[in-house]
Amino acid sequence: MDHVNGVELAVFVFFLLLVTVVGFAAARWRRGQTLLHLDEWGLGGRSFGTFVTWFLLGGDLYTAYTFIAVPAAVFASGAMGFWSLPYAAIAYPIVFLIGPRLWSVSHVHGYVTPADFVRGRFGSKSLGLAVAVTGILAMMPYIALQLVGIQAVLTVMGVKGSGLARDLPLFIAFALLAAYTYTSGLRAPALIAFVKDALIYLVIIVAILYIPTKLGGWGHIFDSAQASLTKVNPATHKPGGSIVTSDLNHWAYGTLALGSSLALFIYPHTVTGALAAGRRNVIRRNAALLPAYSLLLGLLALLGYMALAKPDVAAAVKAAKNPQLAVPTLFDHVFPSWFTGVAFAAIGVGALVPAAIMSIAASNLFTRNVYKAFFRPEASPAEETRVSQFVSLLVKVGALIFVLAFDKSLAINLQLLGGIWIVQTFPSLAIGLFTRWFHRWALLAGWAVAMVYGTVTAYRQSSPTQKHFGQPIADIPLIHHTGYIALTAFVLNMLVVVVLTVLLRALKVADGVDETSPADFLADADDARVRDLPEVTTG
Amino acid sequence: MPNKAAPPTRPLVRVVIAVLLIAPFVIYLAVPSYAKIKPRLAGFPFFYWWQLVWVILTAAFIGLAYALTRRRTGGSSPDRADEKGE
Repeated sequence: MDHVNGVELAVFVFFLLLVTVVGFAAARWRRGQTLLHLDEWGLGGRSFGTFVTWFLLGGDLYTAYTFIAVPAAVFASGAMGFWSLPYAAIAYPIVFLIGPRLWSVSHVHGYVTPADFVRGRFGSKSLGLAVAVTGILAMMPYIALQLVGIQAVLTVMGVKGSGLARDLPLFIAFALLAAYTYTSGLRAPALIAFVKDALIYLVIIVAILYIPTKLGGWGHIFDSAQASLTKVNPATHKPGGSIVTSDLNHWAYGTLALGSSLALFIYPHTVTGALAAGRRNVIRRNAALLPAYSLLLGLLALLGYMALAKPDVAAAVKAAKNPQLAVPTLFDHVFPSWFTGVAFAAIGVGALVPAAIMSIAASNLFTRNVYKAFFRPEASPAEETRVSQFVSLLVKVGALIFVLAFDKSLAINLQLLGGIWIVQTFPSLAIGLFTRWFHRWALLAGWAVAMVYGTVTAYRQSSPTQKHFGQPIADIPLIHHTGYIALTAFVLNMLVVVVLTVLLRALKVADGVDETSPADFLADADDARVRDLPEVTTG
Repeated sequence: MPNKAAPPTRPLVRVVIAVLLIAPFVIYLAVPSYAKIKPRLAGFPFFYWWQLVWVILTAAFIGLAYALTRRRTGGSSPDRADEKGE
């Protein structure tokens, strides 16, 4: 790997140029009357059908970082790393319940962001701000991690060295991404998602059919992985893991899956993808169709075991002390160069789609819930769009600086924290779709307590390689099992919300005005109350 | 979570929908029940093939729940959009 692999790089560059052309062309696809409206730029005209939404949400949820990090976790710790599969399954009943209601109420009231809904539902700009700030903070490191995904494939292709030469390809890819996101808005990632998913499906299907034949079959892959994982590590005096979970980590496995499933649909980028759907039923159908990607994710996770079962790959990854290289190195060793190029392009393009949607989601949050809510209430839709476009550039520059200037473990730690934080908006956002019983100040207090608890607890966790933020799991008070911090914080959050709601209602503290009505949560596109025409001013 | 403003769906159908949506949680959160190697299927330890099969079943359950919500009766109800589809 000391030299740049020309064939791999050429194929990789070809696909990146292809999606750049697609990204710019997307501005003309399903074009509305004006692009200078957040419904157009930020939500693709709110017109996507089942098919487009499936690709868009699939491209959005299953990111390049996932494709790198999930097999890396399985490579490093075995069965424990497989929790993403149950997570990616049980998230969808939740999507089925909350998705259509969020879509309907947002359509009736012209909400663009999750924080718009919370502000309108609970009549509280501060609660809206809390949800928006949580979302923006969670988005930034997540965007940065997409870059880490691209970096991993560039490293294996031999694009390394120091300073500018190493960082230049990343810089160019992101500059192009910023440019077409600026001009085409959400239509760019929606169209690029087709390329991304076609590539990903092709690569994974080939990988799971072809690689086992080279490694002596699935049975042998699992057996060699087990042998390798149970070997005692001389540094920690403990085995690395096992291919099944044990009494020690059943709780961690279950709580990670459950806690993350709460987060999946309330992440701002998911909401952006979902609100771009043209009809209510598009969301419900997608709740049943998106698990196809989860199946893919589960099979992809097993590539971590294939890397363990192939001694030269396992040795190379361990020598580099970076399990994130497991999948790229595996591809590099078993596939012919041209197909490795295709596989790397799949990961590279897989980074660009979510990065674009996340930057749009973060900038919409800023524009609607900070800029418009607190500084420019009279901002026109055109002004909102211009601010969002500009902020989307800032967000990407920020993410780039993040990755280039700091150690990448900072982005990983913050993304871990982001997951814990975002779950704390579940009471106001997801439960708020079903009940208005909670008091707005109780929700704000519960959120604040849980944010502090989650952050402090995560900071205190050490691992063999890190003093702080070593892992997302910690002892659950009273139960004394190890569990996902986000879920413990969420339970604490709910306790505070319920107790304070009872108290504040008893004291008759003024509650905000709810601008929604029960029928709003069931409205569909052909409903007379739905305002989806760009010329109707929103907000 | 019941749909408060929804039109009255037959109670039995509501229970079926609830069971369909809750079942995947019960299956996946009972971690010790599937934390074992045997029986294997095509070389896959039980832990893996069981969880992968349930992804397909979860999708099927949600699809079924969707079909059941669309069969609701009551022409002029606020949820009429569900019957109309696209």
